[in-house]
Amino acid sequence: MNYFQAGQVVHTVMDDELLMVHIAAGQTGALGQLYDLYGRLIFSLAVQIIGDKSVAEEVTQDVFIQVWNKARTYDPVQGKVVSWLARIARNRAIDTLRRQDVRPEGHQAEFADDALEELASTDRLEQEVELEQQRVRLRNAVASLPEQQRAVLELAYFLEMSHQEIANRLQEPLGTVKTRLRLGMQKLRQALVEDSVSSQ
Amino acid sequence: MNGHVFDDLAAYALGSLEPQEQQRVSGHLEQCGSCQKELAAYQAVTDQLMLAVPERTPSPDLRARILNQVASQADPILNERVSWIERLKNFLIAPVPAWGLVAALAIIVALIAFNLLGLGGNQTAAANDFRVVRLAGTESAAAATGWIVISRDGQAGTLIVQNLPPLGEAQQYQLWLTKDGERKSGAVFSVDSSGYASNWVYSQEPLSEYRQFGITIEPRGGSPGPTGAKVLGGKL
Repeated sequence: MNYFQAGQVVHTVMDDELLMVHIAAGQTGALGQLYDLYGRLIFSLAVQIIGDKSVAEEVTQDVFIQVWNKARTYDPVQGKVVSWLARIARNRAIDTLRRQDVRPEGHQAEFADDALEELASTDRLEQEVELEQQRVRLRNAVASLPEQQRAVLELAYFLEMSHQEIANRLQEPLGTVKTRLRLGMQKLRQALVEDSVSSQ
Repeated sequence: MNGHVFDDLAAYALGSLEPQEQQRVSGHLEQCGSCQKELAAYQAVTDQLMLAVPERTPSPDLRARILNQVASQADPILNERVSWIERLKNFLIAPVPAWGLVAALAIIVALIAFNLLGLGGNQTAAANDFRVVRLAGTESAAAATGWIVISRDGQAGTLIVQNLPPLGEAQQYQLWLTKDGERKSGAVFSVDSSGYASNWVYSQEPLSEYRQFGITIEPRGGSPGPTGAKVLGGKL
């Protein structure tokens, strides 16, 4: 016989957008599946921004609770689910850092500085493979940036510092900081477009 | 349009402009499609930067902590159900600039809204990779409506019902999946005091292979085959 009780959680591969439908409908199993896909990524971002693993776990928890409560506000026209998550996570972590000032002395938020090889895609979910490909593209693009441009981008991305704050921190002229930030973002944009085209 | 702000858009996407600069750029963006397009490209880069962060592993129990906290909360959809359905309707009614830009969820949402507005056919609707089956109330529950959204691979779906009469403790509703004259159980569920329920539907065989869907009233826990009154039904 084939009985299924109300609320039974079934682990089935689903699109991110369909996962959001299930989460909006109150299915906790779908939230667990979203966590399995992106929880580690969000936690890693929070650790970089905050520098404290315990607080970063609280932030990660807050992010998923927010996803649970706001799933119905997600609009696929505005971007992918992972982009939506990235914005929520970055904003939440930076807000927490500003509010609690928990960053350990000497902690330096930074991007990974090594290029990545793409992993074999055997026995992996479609979303995981796609995410891994994106990660490789990003890591390689960031690793190829000149050190000075990367340093400016790190302060802007992880700490949401303004041009002036970055200039003060690095003791560089304001115009130099503006140029480095703009060039760094332009290079990343270009690298991602080229990589995307070449992989098609 | 003159006075483009291209040079500021990378910093704008990162949140690195001073408040006054940000205000100026925001004002320009409101009326400049070219700069909006440029900003979208930089925003996409910013969104992806999360992927360039060194990987760290959280405590193994973090997942359980999150799901426990969620489980202890009131049903998030309960209090906002009306607004959620209204939002679906509004989505369809509001001018949509380009349907081609609407992604998979929007298609599902539109299909559901299509049916909510009574514009859809009585039986099914399908678009791209998703299928939505509309369930209509029988004489036993004339006000009831329901939908089954079937996933791309046909293996999973979500059942949404509304306006079904709440049952006593001894009874539950049961979804039946029928093909070639054979019925299988797809879900056993209860509705809340407003007659609403949402449930995952699972079948060992692809849901898309079933041709008929029906919901009956059964003893709590479900029955091997339908025994009670049919309240909702639909065909694929």
